[in-house]
Amino acid sequence: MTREQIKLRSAISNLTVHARRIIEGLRAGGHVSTRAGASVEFDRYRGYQPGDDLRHLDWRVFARSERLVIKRARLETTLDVLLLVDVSGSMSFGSGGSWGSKFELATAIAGALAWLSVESGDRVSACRCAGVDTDICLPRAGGAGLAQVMELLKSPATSGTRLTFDEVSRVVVAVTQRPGLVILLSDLLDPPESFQKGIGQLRHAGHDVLVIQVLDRAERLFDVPDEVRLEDLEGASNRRLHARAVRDDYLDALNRHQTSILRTCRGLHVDHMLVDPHDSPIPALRAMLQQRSGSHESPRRTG
Amino acid sequence: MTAPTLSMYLVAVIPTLIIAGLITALLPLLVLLLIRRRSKRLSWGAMWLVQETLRRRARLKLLRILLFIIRSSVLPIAAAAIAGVWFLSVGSSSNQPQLIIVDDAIGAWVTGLDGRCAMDDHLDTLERLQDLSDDDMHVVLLSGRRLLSSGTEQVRALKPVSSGPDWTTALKQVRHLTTLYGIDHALLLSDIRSGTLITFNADELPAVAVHYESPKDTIRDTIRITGVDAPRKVLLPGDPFKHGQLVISLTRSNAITGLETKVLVDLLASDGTTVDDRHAETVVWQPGERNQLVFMTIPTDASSDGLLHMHVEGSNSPASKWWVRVQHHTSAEVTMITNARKQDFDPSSAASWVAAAVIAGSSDRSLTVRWLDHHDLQVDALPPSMPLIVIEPELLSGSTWSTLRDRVGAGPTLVIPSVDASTSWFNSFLEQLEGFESIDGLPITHRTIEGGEAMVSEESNPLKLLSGELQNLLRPVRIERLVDLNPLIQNKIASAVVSIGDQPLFAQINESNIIVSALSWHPSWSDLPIRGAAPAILQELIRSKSGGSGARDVIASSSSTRVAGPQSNGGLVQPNAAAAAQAKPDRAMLQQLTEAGWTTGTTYDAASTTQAWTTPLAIALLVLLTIELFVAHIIDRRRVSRVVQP
Repeated sequence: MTREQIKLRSAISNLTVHARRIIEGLRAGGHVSTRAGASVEFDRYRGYQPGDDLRHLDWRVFARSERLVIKRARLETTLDVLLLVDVSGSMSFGSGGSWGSKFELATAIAGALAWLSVESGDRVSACRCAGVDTDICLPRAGGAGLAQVMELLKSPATSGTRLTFDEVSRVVVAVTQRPGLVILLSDLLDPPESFQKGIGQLRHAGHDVLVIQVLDRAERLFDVPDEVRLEDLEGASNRRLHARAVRDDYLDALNRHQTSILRTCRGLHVDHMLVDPHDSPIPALRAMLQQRSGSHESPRRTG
Repeated sequence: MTAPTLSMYLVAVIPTLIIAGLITALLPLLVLLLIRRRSKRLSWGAMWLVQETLRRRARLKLLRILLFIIRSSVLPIAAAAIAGVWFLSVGSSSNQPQLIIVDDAIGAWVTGLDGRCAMDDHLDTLERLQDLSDDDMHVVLLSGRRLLSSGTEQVRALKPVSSGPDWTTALKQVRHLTTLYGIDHALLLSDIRSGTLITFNADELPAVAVHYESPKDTIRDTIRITGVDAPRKVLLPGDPFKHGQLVISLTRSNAITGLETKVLVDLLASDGTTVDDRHAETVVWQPGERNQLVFMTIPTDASSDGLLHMHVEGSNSPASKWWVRVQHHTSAEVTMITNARKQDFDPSSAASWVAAAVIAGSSDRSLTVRWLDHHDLQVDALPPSMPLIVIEPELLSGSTWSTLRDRVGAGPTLVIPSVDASTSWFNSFLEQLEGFESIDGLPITHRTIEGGEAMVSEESNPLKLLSGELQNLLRPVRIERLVDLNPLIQNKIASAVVSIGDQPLFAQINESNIIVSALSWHPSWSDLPIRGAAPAILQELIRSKSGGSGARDVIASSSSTRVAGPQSNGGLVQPNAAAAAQAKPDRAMLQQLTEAGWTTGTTYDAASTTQAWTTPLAIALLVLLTIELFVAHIIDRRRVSRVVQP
């Protein structure tokens, strides 16, 4: 385990990863299913109605009060957590932040989330995505799951490639066997149409999606020397420019890009979080997980 | 030692100046090279965003150039458009001109028994039209005189001219005005009682709405309807629906596009009871259209006076004013055989004579004239007993005449050698012509009308003379109950386009009641006489009158000498511009006419066309301003330059 992941683990070990939506699972765990069934966790009573299964009658209540009531229970299931990590060339960019490059921060967060998921009894898998190539492993629970995720994430980012998120989403939808939680870690510095289409495919397949966008401070502020020759990490389109002249236009374009991404996330009910390798991601992650843990309670339903 | 001259001084100094100048010129370049910093290389992940930024900057640069061009060109275009509007205001005072064709031929000045002439009605109509709007009223005079730029006053100031209708020139003027101002219809005010104007060919005047009206036959009332669905009752005396068709002329004061107006008519008996069910006709107004004719056929056997209970409803402005004129028609049909291929030839004048005579013979009839080009005439297909009117038979080619005579001469025949028999030389011509018993060896049967030199007077009105003769011809004619105005109903305009060899028309020739043959004799106007015997006869007669020489001159001057009678040209003379220019007036006759109050006609003077380009300029200006606003909006869109925060 890397030092960053240990740091993360100690900070957020008291938290639990919860999916916002109640999903159907195969194994009992810490997540709530929409399907009613036999379980030890009591939920509530309701009055008997003709046609109800007599096995669910609470005879003790009948003995005490001579009222026929049905006892309802909650079924707990497991959750499949898929960590989608962008390994395109742009992710290798870093400007000396304490958490390293964008890719290093993304893998740290992915590792921590994988650990927490395994600890909660969920099945975890990971996917390295860049261009149209996706390297994906199947979801597994326990230490085996965590080990395969760590193995997949230890390779560095791929230079000279660009993320084609809609293609990646298509593959993920085809490979995953059931809806789960998909956590995307990427800088999202690609045309927003691809992102919009990919997120839409995931949501359409029933996945709960969490987007963790990683942007370096230099990218956010366009903090580059005045006379600079920018060399593309994802291609050969190098440009020489006078940074001061284009800085405002760059910030304007970045704002529009961000607005488009946030609008997409809002429209598809996807949580979005922005982290920077220069800053600790822990507060933002804690807030995100708390928020998701709280929002998980309200839609709980029982059979 | 010699003192240094000026040239030596210059030779010594100039190289120094050149070197200093070069250093000064290179100084900025040197400074630039000295302060030039080497750009640093930086691997960059957000290159897509940088490229988007640069693309947007390039696009904005292009838009700014476009904006500069637009703003630079707006001013000249606006100036040109304003100048065009100024020119337009000089030529006319409105954007919605109306085109009125006023029949000011001499027949329009002949007063009837009520002491009114057709021109009085024309003036009434013009005044009412002027009340409706302030739009310009371009008046085309049927006598071929100059255009009038405004309506009533100039028409009121007109004096009778010694000329019949010049359809060719008038239609050229109409075509010119309709093209210039985008007018799609015109209103014809003529003293011919009723009927349909034929456009000579579709290309020349495709959509001119023409409306003949007669003071006697027109039942008119002015209905001002302010607001929607305000019914008004109009008394229509004299069994208005027994023989004919209602023609409702709708004129509106606004020019809103795309409105529909429904004209509802209930026919009531004089006691107020409903005689007939409601009749409705929907009128769709085209952009800028202010006048429409609504034709309603209301068959009824009512024999008493009728009450027309009419109201107009539709999406009209409450401020709209309507002028509704009601007219009814009865009909007779005449097929006109003519040489329609010659545009200079004016067969309608001759037809006007016949039409007027038919109506005079039966005061409650209107006339539908069908035209047929003589080249397409299959005489063999004509019924043998069909009445035949031949105007100017001396101009027929021998073969045509013989064919006509052989085929249709068995029925009633009226020969009108000329509609103008007022001049002595022509009377002599007629007398000598009557001496001819044959043309090209074929016998001729004459039934000529009497008129002579008293043709000008009311008592010897040629209309009456003609009608008297026509009674014999028209007696067997069945008067149809309804006017055959089907083409007019479909097109909503009173026009019938006749093309050469029109098959449907040709197919209807057997249904016609009478055949009129009107042909021109002048060699330069018609090719008919070239092979016929008439030119030779005519020239021989003229030569004998003029002393054997200058026959051509005499022919040329004949158009101005035959000017005394009403409708004097009658299809015989076509006073187009060229002919008028060549005509040599008979001074004695002119003096006599001038003393009698006649004035000579003038040739058509084309209107100015300076305003033709005003509308495109104004549209271009609007388009440019719209583009300018759009581009400026894109460029000035607020730029968000705040930093994206986690």
